[in-house]
Parts: sequence; structure tokens; C-alpha cells
Amino acid sequence: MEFSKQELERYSRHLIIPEFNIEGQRKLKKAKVLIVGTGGLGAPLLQYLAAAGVGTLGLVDFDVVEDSNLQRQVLFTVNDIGRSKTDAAQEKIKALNPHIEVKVHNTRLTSENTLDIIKEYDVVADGTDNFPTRYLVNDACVILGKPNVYASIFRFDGQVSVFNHTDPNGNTGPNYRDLFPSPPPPGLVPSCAEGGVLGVLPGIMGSLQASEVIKLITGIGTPLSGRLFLFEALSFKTTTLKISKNKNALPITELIDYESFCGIGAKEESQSVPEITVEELRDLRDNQEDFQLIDVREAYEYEIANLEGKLIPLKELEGKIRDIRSNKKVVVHCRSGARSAEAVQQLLTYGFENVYNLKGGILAWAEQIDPEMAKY
Amino acid sequence: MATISIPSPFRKFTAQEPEFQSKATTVNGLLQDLVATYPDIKKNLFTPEGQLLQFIKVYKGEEDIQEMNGVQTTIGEQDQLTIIPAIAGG
Repeated sequence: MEFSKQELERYSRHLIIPEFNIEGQRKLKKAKVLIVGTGGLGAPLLQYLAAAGVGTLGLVDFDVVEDSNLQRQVLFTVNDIGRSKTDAAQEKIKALNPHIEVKVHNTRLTSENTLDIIKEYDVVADGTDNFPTRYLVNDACVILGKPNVYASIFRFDGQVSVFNHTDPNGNTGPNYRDLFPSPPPPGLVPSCAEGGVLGVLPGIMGSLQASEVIKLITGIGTPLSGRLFLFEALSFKTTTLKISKNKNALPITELIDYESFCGIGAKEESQSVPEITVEELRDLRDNQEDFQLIDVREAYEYEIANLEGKLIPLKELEGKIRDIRSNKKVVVHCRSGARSAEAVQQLLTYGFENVYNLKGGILAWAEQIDPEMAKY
Repeated sequence: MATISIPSPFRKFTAQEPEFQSKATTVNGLLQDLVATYPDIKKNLFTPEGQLLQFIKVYKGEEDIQEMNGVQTTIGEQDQLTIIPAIAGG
């Protein structure tokens, strides 16, 4: 594999590292890497791997760029808001390095399409934002024998590892299911959208991922296989723990229904409570009907945007039941409707009969009723 | 006393405390002390049958306790334990 004069000059800082040299650069140029998710982790992954000269980069995402992405997804600018993430990312990457090929998969990964997409690549870098896709990507990598360079983040904390890596002696290291055989129940571990994340954190963790991808491709150094790296930004504490293969794990031979595996359908079903839409809430207000609006979010969320409801955070609900009037209609809301569904469930068990969950929460209100309201 | 680090997603159950200390001599003893102090954390650590949940890892130093004697692993005063939860943000 040959390089043009422009490429040799571009990659010269790699070429003069003795352990890396032109052989390492050739391996990068020949490599095909799939980046799953072009979000917070995807941004540094894409930028550094493109800049480094990985010959083929695949991007998977089905989302569009939103205002709330720009605090950490530094690949995008205000001019990209509303565009498909894969299109915007492809444009940026091609501008950064015209010598590489970029393949776009503008789709949601499913059990039906994932094997076909991943089989074309040498290395997968998992930068998704949800448990079903993490287990899906892991299982597909195990079935296809592909290394899975993993990172995940929450608020101020990050994790990195290399899963399913086969060393030169043919020994394959642990995969994600060896670390966590099954996912937490929905709602226990919030996503970044629900729980927040320090904007710079995915930059740090995604860069570490990119470094591991480059090490795997070039064969230099010791990959983070069989180890889990933890970073806590607030304390600047770093820890590297050992991960072993789970001797009791069942073999992974086929892809399954990952939404069901992660309990997502069951959660929705169990949270089936009486609802009203944001349009119906607007009508209640316009008609000056007598009802009580309860906001079960946290005080810091109320500061961002509110509907002037009575603030009773979900965890305080039990102790403040007397503040809610059972003799009139009660509408409960939160950010997107999940916590308020839980609150309505609780109120029903306390004997409230005229209580409703605001479908879609304050986000739906901002989307459909009040475009001036900040979404978060 | 042995110290266990509480991961961020679980600090809502420990009044935001990032660490917990115990004079217990086994991992199980320490976790039971933790649960006695912060009862809300129990269902996020253990199954109803008392087994550690599968999306939780407990480490003594750099080692997974499952690679030692599980929750019966002995601990000393200087030991640092860590609860590792599955997180999925990206």
C-alpha cells in the first residue's frame, strides 16, 4: 500500500516514531473501523481516527444534530442543527482528511441488520448511549470475532475497555457480558439525556478509545483487553481493574431481542397509567378548569424550564401526599413522562382516582405548545 | 476500617456520600453494614434471594471478588473496595 507525497507529509509525525513508522501507517490505511454512534464519544473517535489515517471509517447513527448536543459533540456546529448526524459528520471528516473513505450507515442498529454492517469492518468502536445497543454490538462482535473497543460515560465518570480481542496466540479476551452478564433495570442508571454528563468527559474517554483502536490496528503496545479503566473527573481518580472471562457464561451464538432483554417493553407496560396530552393540558388551562399540576422533577430542573406546577420531587412524593388534593383533577408531569408515570402509579395506590400523567412531559410541551421553552 | 467507593449512579441512595467505611471482616459484612445504613441501596445491590445483581461488580483492590471467594472474601482495615455499575452513556 503506497502513499502520495501529501499523505507522507501529513502522517510524518507517525512515520518518525520508531515503533510506528510507515508499517504502522500502512496498517492504518488498510484498516476498516466502524464507529457506532456519532455522539459524544463518536466525535473524538471520528476526528482522531480520520486524522490518523484509518483508511475506511464507517459511521452508524440515525439521529439529527440538536442544540443540546453541542456542549460535548464537538464535531458539529450551530450550522448543523437539524441535519442528519452521519451526513454532517461525513462532511467534517472528509474535510479533515480527504485521503480516507467514509461509509455512512444512517440507520438504527437492529438484530436484523447489525451482523451485515459489522462484518465489513476489522474493528468496532462502541460509542452508543443505551444498554440494548451495547449488548447488541457486543454479541455481534462475539459472533463475528471482531474486537469491540468500548467506552461509556455518566456525569463525571467514564469506563474504557477492549472486549473480545484475540491476541497473536489465538486467545480471546473477555467480552461485555463477562463484565456485566445482564443490564440494570430501566430507570436505575440514567442516560446522559436523563442524568447529564460533563461536556469534556466524552472527549477524554473517546480519545482513549481512539488510542486503543490505533494500538489494535498497528499491533503496538498492550491493548486494554481483560482490563477495565475507570476515570472519575471530580476526584481525578483513575483505576484499572482486571476482568476475567465468566466461566459460567452461556455461549453467544445468535442475536436476540435486546429491548426485551433490557426490560424496556416491560417497563412501559408496567407504567401504563391514565394520561393526558399536552394539548389537553393546554385546553384545561385555557378553559380555566380547576385542577392541580404537580411537577415531580428536581429543583435544578425546575430552574431550567417549568409549567408553574407545584414542585414535589418524586423521591419526596410519599411524604408530601397531603399537599396534593384528592378531591380534584391532578395532572403530574416530569421531563419526558417516565418519573411522572411512576408518581401517578403511587398516587393511584394511595386512592387518588382523578390523576393523570402528562404524556411526553415538559419536553412535549416545549415541542408542541411553547417553542420558546428551553428543552434539556 | 475497609472503605468502599459508591459509584455516582448509586449516590442518590447514600445521601450523595462517595464512600462508606466498615469494620466488617468480609465483603458481605461490609455490604450488610452499607445496607443497614442506607436501606434504599439494598434492592440495587442484591436480588430478593440475596445474590449480588448481575449489573454490579464488586472489586477488592484490582480484583473482582467473584474471582476470589465472592461476598465471603475477607477484607482488612486497609482494603479499598469499589462497586462498579454498568453505565451506558455515550
